[in-house]
Amino acid sequence: MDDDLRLKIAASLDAVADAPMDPAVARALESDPDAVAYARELRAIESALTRWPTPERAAAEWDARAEALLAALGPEPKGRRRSGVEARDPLAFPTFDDENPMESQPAMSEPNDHDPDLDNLTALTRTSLGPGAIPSTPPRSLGGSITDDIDDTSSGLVDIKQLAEMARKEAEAEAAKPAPATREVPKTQPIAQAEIEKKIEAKSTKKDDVMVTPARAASPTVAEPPPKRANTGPLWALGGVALTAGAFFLFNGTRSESPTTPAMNAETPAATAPATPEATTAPAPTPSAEPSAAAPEPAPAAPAEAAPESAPTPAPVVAAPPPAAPEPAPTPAREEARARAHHTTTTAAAPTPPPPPRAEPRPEPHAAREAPRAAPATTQAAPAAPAAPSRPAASTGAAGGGEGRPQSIDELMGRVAPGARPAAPAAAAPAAQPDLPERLNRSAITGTLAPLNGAVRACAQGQTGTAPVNITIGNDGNVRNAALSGQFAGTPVGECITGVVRRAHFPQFRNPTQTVMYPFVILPPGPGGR
Amino acid sequence: MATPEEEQWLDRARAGDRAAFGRLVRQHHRRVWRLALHLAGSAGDADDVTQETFLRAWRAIERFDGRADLFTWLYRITVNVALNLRRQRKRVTTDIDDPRVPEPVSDGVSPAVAAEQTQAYRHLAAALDGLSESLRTTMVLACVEQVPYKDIAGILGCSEGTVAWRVHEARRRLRAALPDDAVSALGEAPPTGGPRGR
Repeated sequence: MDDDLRLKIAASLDAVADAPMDPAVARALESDPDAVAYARELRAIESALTRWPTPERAAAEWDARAEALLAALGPEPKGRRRSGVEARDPLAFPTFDDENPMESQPAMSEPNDHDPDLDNLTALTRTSLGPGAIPSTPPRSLGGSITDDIDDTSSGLVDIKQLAEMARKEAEAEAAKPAPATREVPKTQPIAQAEIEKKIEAKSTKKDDVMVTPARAASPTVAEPPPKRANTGPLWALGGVALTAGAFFLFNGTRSESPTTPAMNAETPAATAPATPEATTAPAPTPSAEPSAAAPEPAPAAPAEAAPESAPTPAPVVAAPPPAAPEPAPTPAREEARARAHHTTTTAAAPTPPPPPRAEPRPEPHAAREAPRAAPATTQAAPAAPAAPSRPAASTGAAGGGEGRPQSIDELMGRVAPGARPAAPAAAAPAAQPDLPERLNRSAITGTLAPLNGAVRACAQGQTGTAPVNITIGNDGNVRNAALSGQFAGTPVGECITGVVRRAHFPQFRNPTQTVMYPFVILPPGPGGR
Repeated sequence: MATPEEEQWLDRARAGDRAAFGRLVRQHHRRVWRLALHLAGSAGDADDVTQETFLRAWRAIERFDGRADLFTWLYRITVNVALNLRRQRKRVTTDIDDPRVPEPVSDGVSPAVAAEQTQAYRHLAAALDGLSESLRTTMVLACVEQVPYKDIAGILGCSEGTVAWRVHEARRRLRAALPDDAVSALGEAPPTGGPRGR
């Protein structure tokens, strides 16, 4: 199992039952016991984090500390000098030492004195007439390529004053040289020169400090009779202008095609995508959700490939539908599912980030958000196959339309026992499969029920306490019955909790049924709890 | 958005009413301290961070415009103060008796299993401390504090996609850092453990 798949599995943990799943993850969880084990391990870690007990203090101690804190309130002492780290404004967005400076994308309304985007933009759009545009070194001769004067930091714009000065100096230098006697001029040139001269003369009546017309007598280049001699100073200037213009367009063309800096090039798509809601709602043009540059493996999203691979996949056989009619999802749970789905759509099929410029690359939220939209087209063919399971409607999520949806990661985790073979036939009933455990162990039960803590907490709507649920599990993994006792029994909250539990799906086992008592402990909701 | 009642206290606190600010302190004190504990790693530092957080909040209360939830603003200050503290200390000092690690729970499990689970949480705390600043902060906010991604994005000043990626990457790194037996013990851990008192 490669890191890419590991990261995708980690991303899929946020998936809710009715959210599309990354096809690669779905395939791996259906066929690879290692992937299933890895997903379960991640789920266990996640579960341990979410239920991490908080050290408690006596109420009196909290009060005392609050009083002490309030007694210490006061205005900021004036003239206090802070060290460098203290000088960071605690009200500003945090900056992490390990963070790519391009990674932070503060809101536009928030002031940020060290916005790297702004700095880069400033560097890119610096005009030639702005401060620092004129190089400190003397202007070079027009000899050679004028593009040599354009360094990497130039904006590509040309300072006409500087150009005129260069042309004037060139003309003066030419005037100082003796005129070559044998130089031949093409026949068309005098005519063209004469026309240009006329134009220049007409324009030179408007004297300004931009274009300087050298004295006509200074023209040394053509050995012609005096009336016919062309004043090549302006010609040089015009030639310089033409060359510069050509170089400008050439440079601009190449600049728009080539990356400016590696950091900018790597970060710009990811940086702009999340800030543009329209971009996220745009339909995915292709089923492939993975950026080609970032995907070391071929994109597994071709619809034609999905069906043959998914059709023979062993599926859990539902021996008997659960006796309890599937009830609609309780409102709090549904809201939470929606809230999580909002997160999940950005993460469920998060592709591997592009090769990072630093240790931690930015994600590709744009691609990640496109992925779930692309996934249904690729996976709908699979359930249409005859071997597709007839999962209970409730387990597919209340959002509906779930017949063609891929399963949730919890269901897929429960499908394949850690030791199961990938292509094992699924026609036999669970009791007839010798590799199934006789009964579920504690890990399998907590691994299935612990992830429901969030939904159960949502059901409680801010209430706290313990909700012991007596759960009867069929050997197909479906919940046959869920009976709540305790303080929430017989209340709408209790009905909501039992509804959540009934939609759980456990791993299969051999015994006909198994009954477990699981106490959901509902802690005080976290701030803005999920 | 702040609740109407909270808005009232905020208005009065902006006017310099310490009692009103005291109500806000009592409302958010535990949450801020819990976040500070997981970011700072020791109870003493968590107390310092909490006090500094509310002190900063009091001094800048007029700058809080109420467009976001108050807790997101307080959390941002907490994160900044905790990061500053860690950078000042250069070396993270954790209590020998890590207050984050729950005491063994012998309710329904054998003492051996309870000890394994406690040890697993000790490993988890160490693995969390081993994460980079951005991953650890995001993971604590997302999983331990269970703050929605959208709010985390507002706290940290990044996109939701960045938050999601950090969480996924942190999951992966935590798994890589944890020994197998610790993961197994965490998988079998009861829904709640006994919190370690101070």
